[in-house]
Amino acid sequence: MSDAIIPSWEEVARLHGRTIYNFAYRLTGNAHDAHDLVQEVLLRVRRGLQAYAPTGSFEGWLWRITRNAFLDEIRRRKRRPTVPLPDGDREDSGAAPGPDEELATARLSEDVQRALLELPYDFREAVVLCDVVGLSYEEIADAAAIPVGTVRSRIHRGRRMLRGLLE
Amino acid sequence: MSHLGDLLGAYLDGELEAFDRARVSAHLEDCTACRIELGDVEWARSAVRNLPLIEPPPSLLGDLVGSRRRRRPMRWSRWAWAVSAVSAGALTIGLLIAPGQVNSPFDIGTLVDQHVARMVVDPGVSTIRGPVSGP
Repeated sequence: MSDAIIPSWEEVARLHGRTIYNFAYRLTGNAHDAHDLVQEVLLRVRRGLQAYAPTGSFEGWLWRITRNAFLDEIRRRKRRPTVPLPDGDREDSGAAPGPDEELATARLSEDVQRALLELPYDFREAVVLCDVVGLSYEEIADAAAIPVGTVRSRIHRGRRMLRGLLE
Repeated sequence: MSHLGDLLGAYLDGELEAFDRARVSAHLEDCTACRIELGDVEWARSAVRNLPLIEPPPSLLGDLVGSRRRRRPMRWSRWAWAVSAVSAGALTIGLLIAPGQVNSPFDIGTLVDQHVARMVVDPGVSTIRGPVSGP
């Protein structure tokens, strides 16, 4: 039997729930879809933990479940994920009115979010997993079941496209 | 040497082995186009990394985590009371049977009260950690 420590479902929710929510939020651009996705992911994690047998890293397993849940949700809904951020959702970003600098930062964040949503899904996902979630190239490759070289290419091209969109 | 392409992103992220890293560094010294491209992807990376962390609505994780925890205090509370009652009974019987053998400065009522209070405050307290009665 493996000595690997398998977290409980509550620990996964507590330790990773916020990160999964941010992943979902940045991919969808809205709080409602992010909310639904986190619920779906955590339910799958709860079911999956019962039969979880560690073969790779736990994070690799978790993010495989997360991205699969996300892709399933997109297929199920058959709707464009490029929904602009409604006004009501902006409160969640914590961008409270303040000095000019804060407002400029909030505006830039909205621009970056909009630009992210314009990226092809594969590029957006790679960039978000790398720069929002903080996974290494190898962990992204594991989660997405693609070669590390493909991860490298998607991240680089995604960032270049972002730069072009935000000029 | 041709331009570096996606090696630049991996270079920026510290994802290259030492040999490739040295090769990219050497190329960057002589190639303005690649230096500009590196600056572009670094800017984009910072823009995404500086996006604010968004707090999930409290109802989301709170409900999910709480849905399994809600029942636990009730179970533990009943269990704690049951164990406390048994312990208190055992203590009383022990004192009745051998009052002379218990050389304790504690008042038995206080001792039982303290134990019950501990079991209620900290449901994780087990019978092993509770006071042991008898001669």
